[in-house]
Amino acid sequence: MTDDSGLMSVDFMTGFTIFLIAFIWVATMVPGLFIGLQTRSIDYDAVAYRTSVILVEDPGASATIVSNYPWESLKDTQDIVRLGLAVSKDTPRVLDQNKVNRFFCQTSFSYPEDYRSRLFFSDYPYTFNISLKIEGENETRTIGDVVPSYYPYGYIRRDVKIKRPSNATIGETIIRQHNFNNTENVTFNEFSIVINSSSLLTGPVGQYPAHGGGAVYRINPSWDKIMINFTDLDETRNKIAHPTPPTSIRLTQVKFSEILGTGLVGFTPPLVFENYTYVTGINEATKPPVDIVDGNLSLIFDSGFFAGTDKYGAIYLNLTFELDPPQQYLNNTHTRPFDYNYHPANVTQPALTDAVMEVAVW
Amino acid sequence: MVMSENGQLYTIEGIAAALILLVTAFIVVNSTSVYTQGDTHINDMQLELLGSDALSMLNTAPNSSFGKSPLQTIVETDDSALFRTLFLNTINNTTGPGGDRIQYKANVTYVDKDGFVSTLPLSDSPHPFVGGEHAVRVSQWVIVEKRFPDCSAGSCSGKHAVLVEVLLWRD
Amino acid sequence: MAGLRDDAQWIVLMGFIVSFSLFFVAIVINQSTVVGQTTAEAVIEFPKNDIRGMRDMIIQSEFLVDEGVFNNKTNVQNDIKTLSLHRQNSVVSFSSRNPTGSDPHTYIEIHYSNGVTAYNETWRSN
Repeated sequence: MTDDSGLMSVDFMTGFTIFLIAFIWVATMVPGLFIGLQTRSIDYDAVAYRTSVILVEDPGASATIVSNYPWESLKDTQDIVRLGLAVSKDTPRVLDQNKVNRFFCQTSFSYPEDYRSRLFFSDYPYTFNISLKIEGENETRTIGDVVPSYYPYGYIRRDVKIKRPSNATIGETIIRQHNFNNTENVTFNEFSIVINSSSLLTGPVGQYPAHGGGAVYRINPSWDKIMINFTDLDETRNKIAHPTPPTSIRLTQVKFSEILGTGLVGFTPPLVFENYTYVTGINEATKPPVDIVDGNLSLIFDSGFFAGTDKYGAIYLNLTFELDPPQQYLNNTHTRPFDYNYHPANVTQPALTDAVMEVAVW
Repeated sequence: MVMSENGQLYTIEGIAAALILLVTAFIVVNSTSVYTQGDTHINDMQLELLGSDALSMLNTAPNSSFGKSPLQTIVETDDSALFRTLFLNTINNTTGPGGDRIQYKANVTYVDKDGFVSTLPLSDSPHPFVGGEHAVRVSQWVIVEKRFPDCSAGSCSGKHAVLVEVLLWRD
Repeated sequence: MAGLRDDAQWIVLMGFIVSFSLFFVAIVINQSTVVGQTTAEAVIEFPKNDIRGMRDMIIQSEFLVDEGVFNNKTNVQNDIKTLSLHRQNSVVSFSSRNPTGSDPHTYIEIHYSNGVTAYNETWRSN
């Protein structure tokens, strides 16, 4: 029998060393499994993508009770369900300027809760930064926190266009062209404007035939902001017969009506939009009656103003100017109503500006 | 001679343990497919999205009085330089300072008079495509009024639907 | 053999313990990567832009006309089918119904399939 008690320690050392070498080797492989595994950042990229799609390809949504109105027209943020910036579902990547303005308005939404619940829809409190640079603007619009520079974040960039709403300026040229000044001296001069929703929505747009790809340039009266400016109103008087202007020129009322079926019926705009007239000397929106002091008047109908009207009808606006003493003034009782249409001579058409949007999420 | 095996007990068990560890590690490494950012196609997804955004922006005129988008005009007149300027400006634009470094190669794919699909080069970025790049492909439909080279018959003038196809990569 | 001595078996036991923890880690890793990977792939797989583009083209082509020597409508519609098949690996078919006296709308049936994703729509003019 050999005495092997001395071999025990050598045996133990060999066995344990083999085990240790294998253990260390395997242990060094474990971190290798995690290299490049940035689950967080991968998930953040997906969230950034989803957010960009909601922003760029969705028009947003209002609560059911006010679903007739675009979200940007709602004063109460509680009524806004989803914040999408697209003009409509059919025009992805074309953003509405009013929506953009409201979205980046720091005073109308509180950061970050209002955005998280209306844009990210997640239990996880994502931190984010959304920035938009519009061609021709010096300032980049931005909302959110500063993008981290030392740890990964989800990111997506989108090329978009911003749609500027249409507006009409009724000035000397148009007034003369369409004979919009009356030749009689009257106290109440009536001027009417027609917004033909039906032809605006279904007819040809500018150079594009009805279904020829011009959808992004459409004016949608029930959703878009509509601006009508009057200038040179003083020129509509007969200055030779009456060198002195009347003591008072006043827009007494604007009557709204629409064609329903075959008849013309009155239309009452929602109460939140009751102030829509702008005149020189008053720095905020007012409602008729207003005094016109220098021949300038603007009517600004925010998006949603005509939301209650028939989409395939026509909206009529009747403006009444009261002059004391009676004189001739802006009046188209004997001619045709001013048509708010796709004719660039009448209406400054919606225009698209290039912009780029970046969404960062972490 | 009597062989004593007592002194090899720990060695044998050590080898056994080491084998178990190595086999496990081998199985684990082979079975967990770890996705890095590159593998998950996230960069591809971002590039593809940006590319189709940029092409569709090029296919949108600033207002309704043009009747034709810049992209339609470019294809009809083979204006390679204009495409380069517009496309690079759009796709490399960022909200911060500095721009991106995306390169492209654009082709126009059309159907010739015999019904076969043909391709014409449209435009290239300053760094030409050599083949080794990891590129993604995006495309945009346009209707153009153009006579293509192998389309001499009268019946093939007029309007055609063509695909503007762009390969995109970062250098 | 080593008789009945088993004082060295703790080494094998340790080997087993480490092996099991490795397996556990592997399972966790496998679970966690699936989320991001599927999102990015799903975005790439789903031909959103192809469908939008083809749908837009079909609607536009419907309102083109064949006039004189220019077979605009026929050409464009054939181009759409051929190019979709060859360049986007998708079968596109469509048919339209023109307005009748009682119904002033144009209807277009649009079918798209690339083997994975199918899209069907009945478009109605407004």
